[in-house]
Amino acid sequence: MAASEVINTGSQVWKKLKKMGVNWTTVRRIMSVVLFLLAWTILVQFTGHFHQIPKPMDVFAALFQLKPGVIFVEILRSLLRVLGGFFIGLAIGFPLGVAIGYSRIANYLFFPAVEVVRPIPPIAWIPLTVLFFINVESQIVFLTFYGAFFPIVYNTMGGISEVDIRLPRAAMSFGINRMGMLWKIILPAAMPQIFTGMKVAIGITWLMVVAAEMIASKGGLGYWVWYHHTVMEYPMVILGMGIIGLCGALCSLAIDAIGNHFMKWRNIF
Amino acid sequence: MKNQNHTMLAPVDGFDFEFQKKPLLSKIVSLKTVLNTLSILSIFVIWGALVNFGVYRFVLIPGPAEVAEWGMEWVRSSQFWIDTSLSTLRVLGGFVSAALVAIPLGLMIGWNKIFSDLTFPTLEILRPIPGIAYIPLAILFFPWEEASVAFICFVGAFFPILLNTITGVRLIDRDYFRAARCLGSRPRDIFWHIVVPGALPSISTGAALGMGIAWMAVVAGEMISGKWGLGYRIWEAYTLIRYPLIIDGMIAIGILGFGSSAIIRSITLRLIPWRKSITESLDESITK
Amino acid sequence: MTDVNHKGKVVFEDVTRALQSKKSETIILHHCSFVVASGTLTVLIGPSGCGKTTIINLIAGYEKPDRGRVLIDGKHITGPDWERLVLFQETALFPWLTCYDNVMFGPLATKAMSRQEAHEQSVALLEKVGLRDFMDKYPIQLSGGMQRRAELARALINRPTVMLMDEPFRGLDAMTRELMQEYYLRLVEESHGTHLFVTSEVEEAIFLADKLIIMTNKPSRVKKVLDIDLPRPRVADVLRSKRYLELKTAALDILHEEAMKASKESGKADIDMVSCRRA
Repeated sequence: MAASEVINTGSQVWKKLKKMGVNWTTVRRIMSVVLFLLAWTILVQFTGHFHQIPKPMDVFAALFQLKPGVIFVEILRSLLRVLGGFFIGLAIGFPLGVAIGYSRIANYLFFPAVEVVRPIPPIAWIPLTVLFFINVESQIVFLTFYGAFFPIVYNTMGGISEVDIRLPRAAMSFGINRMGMLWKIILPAAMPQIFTGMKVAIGITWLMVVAAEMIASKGGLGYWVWYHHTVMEYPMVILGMGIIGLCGALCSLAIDAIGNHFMKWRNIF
Repeated sequence: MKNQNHTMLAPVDGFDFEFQKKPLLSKIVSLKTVLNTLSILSIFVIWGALVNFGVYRFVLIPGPAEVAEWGMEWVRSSQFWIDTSLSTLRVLGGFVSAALVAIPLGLMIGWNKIFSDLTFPTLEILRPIPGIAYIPLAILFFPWEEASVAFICFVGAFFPILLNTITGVRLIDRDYFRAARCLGSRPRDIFWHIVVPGALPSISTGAALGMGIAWMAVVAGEMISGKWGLGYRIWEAYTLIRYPLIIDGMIAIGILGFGSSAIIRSITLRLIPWRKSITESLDESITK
Repeated sequence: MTDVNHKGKVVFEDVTRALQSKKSETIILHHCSFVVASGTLTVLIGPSGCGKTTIINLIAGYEKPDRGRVLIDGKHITGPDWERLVLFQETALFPWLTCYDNVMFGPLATKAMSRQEAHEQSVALLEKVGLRDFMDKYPIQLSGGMQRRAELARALINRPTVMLMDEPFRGLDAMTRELMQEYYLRLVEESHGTHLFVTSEVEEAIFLADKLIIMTNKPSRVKKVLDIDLPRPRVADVLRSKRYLELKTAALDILHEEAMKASKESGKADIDMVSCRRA
């Protein structure tokens, strides 16, 4: 048709899109992903060095070769380990963090010990864990626990000690007792930071699960990726990485959602 | 020199609202120092006790005395120094390249919306993927070992540095930009004289964080695919049933990781003379 | 104006208080003495840095004097207590509770009255400060002025013996500020409690006060106590009365004197420019 008609329909479509919330920013964002995929394809196609790496199309095709039953079992395995370690980390780390942040005696007594152990990377614990725990599941859960523990302790501790001093002071003027102070004032005030800690913790927990599974070879997403690496099915490897990332992101979002529910008072507008 | 005019106010509900003047002696041997030392000592004492009395499966784990003994020997061996240098090299390689890419990228993303829209979504998609998951890819990319381990360090350090840099730019008080524009600055000047210095504190936090993560990554990388290096040595100690070395290796990595983070922090602090104070220790803020 | 109920008399006796920093010690209050008679609204005014907040903290019990004594009804002050409630410069409403829950907080914590009673009084007070319709909103949803009003309600429901206000209306725009002053005065004149109000605004000070205490620079003492004998209840008209202007001039003169001394010492202001005001 005539060029003017094309332009006309074009601008009408654009107006409709704008009404739905699409604007230049969204376009650029989509472009970003497209460019990335393009660059990836070109890199693989035209440079000799990287030719082993699958193209985005290959990865996409692999998506259809996935057997849902198999992949969901692996996802579930990893998820259970993540949740196990995370909740144990919460059970131990949260009270510890509260104690260290609230009471100076607990702080003096426990903080140095925690600080000293922290620099040791979780991965370095693997051989010791294998020695100590008979059961592979408990080995993996210990590692995930270790990963979740430190962010939870540090963020809880930080959240509590950074509570605006005027709030407890005001509460004291109202004649509140010690328990009340902790539950009704300190904890609610520290909630935002505590939830940040939980978000970071779940991210690290996923990291640990993947690492542990790669080494331990007992099912789960990490093992799945490693297996496909050993049999050189690289599209599956990349797909696996993507799935791992997706699961991690979803867990983070879940914590965000739970946090927002408990902390409505922060952003009702 | 006791000062009689101070009355003790007992700590109320965990918040002590009073500071007291203490005589000099009690400053040196304060409750804090005592409990702190106790805390660290108790790690070794409890550890030793658990091993000694064979509690649960602790009998299989080397005790502090053994670890110390083997450690002394190991530190004197040339193997230790080669391992340490190699690990350090890999960490530095990954870290420095991550910094060289992430800092400019982060500055641009924080600075320019168009650039941010074009690059950030891709990065956000890549971010949740744990560095570990990149290992197979790393082996593909860089069949040559040094580079593949350094690549894992790169991935590990990259995102903390990037995100902190972006936050650093975003946190700069908008008024500085307005003031600069009133005074007639060109965008280039604003970038170099406001954006870069303004983001430095956050960048230094990100760098210290990234350094710590790079050390974690190097251990992972070496355990899985190395022949030399501290991470590999720990794994080897396990397979060769030289268990005290496992713990020696862990301690070595812990010290190196902690030390390198501290070095980064002090270097960057030198670059930021206008920064008011280093974050104070937690228990000081409780008692304020 | 002393009251039948002789509670809430605060005596500040020869108090000295210093601030420690790592390198040096700054004396804020030096042999400072004054009395807050029960049932009065006493206003404290002085140059900035003269320790007004320190005085509030000492009476509230958050700090202890280095020398001297602070007494309430003859007893030493040993710590914070619900008898002495403080309203700060910045809002200390609990962000995670609604307006209503914030006001109910005190009565529920002290169990000083039944829940039913507390509920009725909360609603009545919120009505009085004009926040009835905002009872279920969170502090973040309220404007600055509304937050202050909520805090007033929260404090007053506990009928504290002494109310300490640390520049509570600072930072509000002029109209909100006037409104707040009127709300506050209504509540004070009805409750006949003991109030100590700190401010740096002379007009506000005279408008509110029964007695006006003027502080020196640091190291601070009481420079002068003015009896504000304007009639109650105070209305906006009083701002135009002759007596008000007399008191205001007197207060301003004293404050100016202190300000001049301060800038001479620190060498900050250009003295000639300042002194032409007095010419």
